[in-house]
Amino acid sequence: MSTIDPMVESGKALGLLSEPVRRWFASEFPTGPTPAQATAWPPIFGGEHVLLVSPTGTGKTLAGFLAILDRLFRDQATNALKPGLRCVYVSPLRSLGYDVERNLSVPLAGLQATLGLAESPVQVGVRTGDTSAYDRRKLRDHPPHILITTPESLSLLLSQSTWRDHWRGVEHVIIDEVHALVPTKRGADLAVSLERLADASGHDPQRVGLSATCRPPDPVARFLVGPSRSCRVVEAPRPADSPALELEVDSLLRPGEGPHRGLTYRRLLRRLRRAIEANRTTVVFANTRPMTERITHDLRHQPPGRDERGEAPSYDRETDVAAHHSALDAGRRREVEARLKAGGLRAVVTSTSLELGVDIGTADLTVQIGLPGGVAHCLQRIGRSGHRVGAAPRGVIVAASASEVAGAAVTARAARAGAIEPLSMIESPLDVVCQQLLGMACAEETSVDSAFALFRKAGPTADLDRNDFQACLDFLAGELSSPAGAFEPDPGANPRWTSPRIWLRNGWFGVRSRRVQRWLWTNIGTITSEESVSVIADGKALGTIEGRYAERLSPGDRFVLDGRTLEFRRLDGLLLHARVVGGEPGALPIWHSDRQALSSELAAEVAEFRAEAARRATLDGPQAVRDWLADALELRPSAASVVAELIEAQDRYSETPEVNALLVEEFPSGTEPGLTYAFHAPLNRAACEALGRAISARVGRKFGRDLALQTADLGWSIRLPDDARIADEDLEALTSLDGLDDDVLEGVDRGDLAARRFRHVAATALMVLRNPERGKRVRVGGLLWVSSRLYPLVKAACPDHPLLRETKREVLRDILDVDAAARWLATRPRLRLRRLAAPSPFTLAWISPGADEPLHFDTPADALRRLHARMTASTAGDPT
Amino acid sequence: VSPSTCHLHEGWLLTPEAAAIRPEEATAVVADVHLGYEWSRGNAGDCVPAHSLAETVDRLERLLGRAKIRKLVVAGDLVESARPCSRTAADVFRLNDWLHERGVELVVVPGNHDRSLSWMCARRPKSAAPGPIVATSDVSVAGWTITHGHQPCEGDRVMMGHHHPVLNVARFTAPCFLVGPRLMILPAFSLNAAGLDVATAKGNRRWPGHELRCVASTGAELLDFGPVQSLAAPIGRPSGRISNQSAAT
Repeated sequence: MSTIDPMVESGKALGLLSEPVRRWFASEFPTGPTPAQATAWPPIFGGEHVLLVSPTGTGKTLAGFLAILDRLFRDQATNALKPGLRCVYVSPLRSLGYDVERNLSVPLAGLQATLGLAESPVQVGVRTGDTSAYDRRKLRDHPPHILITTPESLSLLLSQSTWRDHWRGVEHVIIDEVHALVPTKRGADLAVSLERLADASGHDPQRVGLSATCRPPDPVARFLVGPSRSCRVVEAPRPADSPALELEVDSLLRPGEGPHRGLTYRRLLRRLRRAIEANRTTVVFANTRPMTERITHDLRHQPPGRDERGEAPSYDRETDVAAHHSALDAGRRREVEARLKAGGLRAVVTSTSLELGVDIGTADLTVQIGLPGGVAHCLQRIGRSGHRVGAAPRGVIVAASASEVAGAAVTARAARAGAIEPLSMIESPLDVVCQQLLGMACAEETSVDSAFALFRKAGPTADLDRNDFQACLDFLAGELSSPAGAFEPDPGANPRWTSPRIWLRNGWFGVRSRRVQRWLWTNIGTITSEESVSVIADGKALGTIEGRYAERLSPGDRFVLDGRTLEFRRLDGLLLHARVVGGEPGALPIWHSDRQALSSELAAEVAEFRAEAARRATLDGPQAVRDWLADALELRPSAASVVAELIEAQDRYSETPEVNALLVEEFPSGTEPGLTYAFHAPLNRAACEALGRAISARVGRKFGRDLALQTADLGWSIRLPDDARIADEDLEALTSLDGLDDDVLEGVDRGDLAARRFRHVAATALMVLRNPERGKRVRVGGLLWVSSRLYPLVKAACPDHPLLRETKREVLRDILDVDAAARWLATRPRLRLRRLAAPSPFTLAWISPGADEPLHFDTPADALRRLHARMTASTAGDPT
Repeated sequence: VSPSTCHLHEGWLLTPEAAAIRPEEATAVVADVHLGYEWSRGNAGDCVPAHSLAETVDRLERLLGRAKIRKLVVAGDLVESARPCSRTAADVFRLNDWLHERGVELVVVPGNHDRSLSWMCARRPKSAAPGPIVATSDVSVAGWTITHGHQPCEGDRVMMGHHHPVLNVARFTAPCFLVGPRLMILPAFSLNAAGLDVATAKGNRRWPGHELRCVASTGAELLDFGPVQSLAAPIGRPSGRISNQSAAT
């Protein structure tokens, strides 16, 4: 496949097209098909399942579509083109769907002109969550030849009996950006939907997957077609004359400076303003939504200060800078995308929402603030610039601290080498299984055996266990039994479940009522989000903020959304009324999203070069280390010095850990009495968290008191209560490989991670509805009822509940990396314990203080008693 | 009764089950039972295990073990569902039967959730014991007016529910009584009720001039945390995360 000569192939590929399509293509693209197109068309014509792997900007859309359009036009020529669905195109992004519709309209209009027809014979329709009720009905009554949709909308349509007969004509399914779907529950959900679509069509439609570069492509191919079909992987080479990407790491710190948020933030803004001035359009990736909001606000409003030199920018701050993130109102997002495409914006600040898809036209620089969370993300983001022919994608990673410089350096080095992380599927997520089972029940009465066979055909659920599958059905039918001793009045009886969704009889199942159908239709999907509140300012919907944050606001409080400062007026259920005020920025709204992290390979690389630099510093002296770092990490001398200084400081104060050592540093906790232990290991966050939880469980058992755990890439810290101390001889037992799995689990159970994940699992499985029917939301109980009350209730009523098992699987397999932690422990790393007077430079750099999670080893009652004792003691000692 | 488990206030015996007992009248007062919580959730589309009747009975069992009680007054919100709900109605009669078997009369001062209680009481099964008594206005016990608290109330000494006061400790929430010489606010009897955090400014400025003390329940005993106004400082608002995220470059 990769040995195909594109020049020879392109002639052959063109020869496959029917005459009018070839004529149109030749007039539109006189240089002939791109390598991606030339290599993809033959197998697509041949009807094979195809995974097309190619970089962005290589004509992927036409590579996927043109062979299919050609089929439709051939049918049209022989009058065999009947109304009805022929091709389903699925995109993970709604906006990408609209983009494709626009891109398709060009060839369709061209072909129509070539054929001299009054209107295009091929109809295209878009169905997403934004489609109006009128258009939905129209699509249902007169389905187009090509349906552009999202995974959620496809699942929804498959669950409606009115669409049941439309699927018969489907011959092709195109899945765009398939690499982005592979490692997600959303992808697992889509994979099952594709099997349902194949089943409903009565044959097996051809699947075409379009993917950005992925190495190796096999898991993506298996995701696309499942275990039983074969898939042709077509890897299109980059066009020979395409320029290499330009990527540099920029340190906001200069040598000799300690980290300082205010200073680096002001420098960041200056850096961004310079970049915006110097480029046509700049895309800024800020990682988190609060940061996106803050930067947008400050780029717009910050008055020229002392270091601004009073220069006014050459663009309009208010209108030429925009924010883009997924909590913004959809209409507002569309507007920003359209202006970006038309070249009407100088800068867009985005969290991660512009990472995929949408062609952003004239962007010529991407700035990534902090680490992008992996090489694939990094490349995807840089790929957003340089879409013009002959232009190189250009990117800058801006790092605010020495540790970020180090992480950015290894990420950039791997990105230049194209060393992206391998992808793997989520294996048999039971919450997705529950939602899909309900979808099948809503479409028609279904046989239990055929449903099980269907799941086993999809890649992610290929190994679904029959007992787990049955448990999901029993849950939906309200028939899960509880063990003796549960709180139900009759031991061993079924707990009474409040509203069973399906009936289950004689090997068949079906939906119980039309209400249940409505519940599914309004709650379909797997995208997890904390409960959010819509913000309305001056009568206009602006977006959403996190519910927990909204509940804490009082009238007059200020916050930022969409780069505007808003003043809270009142909260009306899930509607927040606010007023736009100018000037001073308020506190920033909080959203929770899982923090970005280094891959395990990159974390190991950082640990390795830290150790190597420390060795060289001892042997060759400071200048040699700086030269080596600049050379090995491809850094500018000043950035290399910033990293070298951190390593030198660590060596003066403590020591730089070898990669085969676990360095433990003890120091007094800053804010409270007691000691904190920082653990430094050459592992990424997922593995550090696994090991950190296991060691916390062991420490917690030893002292029987609450701890606070904080995890990061390359280390974690555990804060102990005031009279506890780890002795040298304890370390061996604390880091033992024996019973590691059980201790990780205990560490998970003592914190709130599992309860937090359970909320999302319960919502995806539709145990609780994210969007209840109008006016029926139960307010008593608050937003956290599901994690604080329902989770323990389900544990008590049914300890083997499939959703509890799914929560555990997700935590142990998807969030934590227990295997990597165990592999490293098995190498028997040397244990080093150092007792220090304050946190070491490495601790401050990598395990930054702030968001620790309490792990409860004493009972809530004990915690309350302790607080009471502390407070009565302090009042007794108070002379007033 | 061990004095460390319970707390004596103005002749009332406060218990860890979130009840106030008037021993000389053999009367216990609780508030915010929210019976049938799961049926309301189910009606909105959630599929969760039934639990509120079992939990209520379990707590009442412990309460009845503390003193001789002949009358249980619910200071509003006996049920969760403000709409007619037959499954909730069935639970109300099961609870009433259970109390009747133990010689306890159930009296309900209607709260804002009890709008459909009369509809539910009309669905009495043939075998049901007499009751519950739904009071048409506020009830008086030992000179204290028992009311729900969702509407203004006249009275020299008032006991009410509705606000579900709690004390947040780390991430654990302890129900608590707010008690003063002329006002007592009961914690929610239901474990499902999220509440008003008394350590926040919003919580402790609500009843100025009442000199309320906070008495929190560990589930097994009561702890006196002193005046509500003094709570905010040592415990603090649980909002320390705002500043951390603002400039996280």
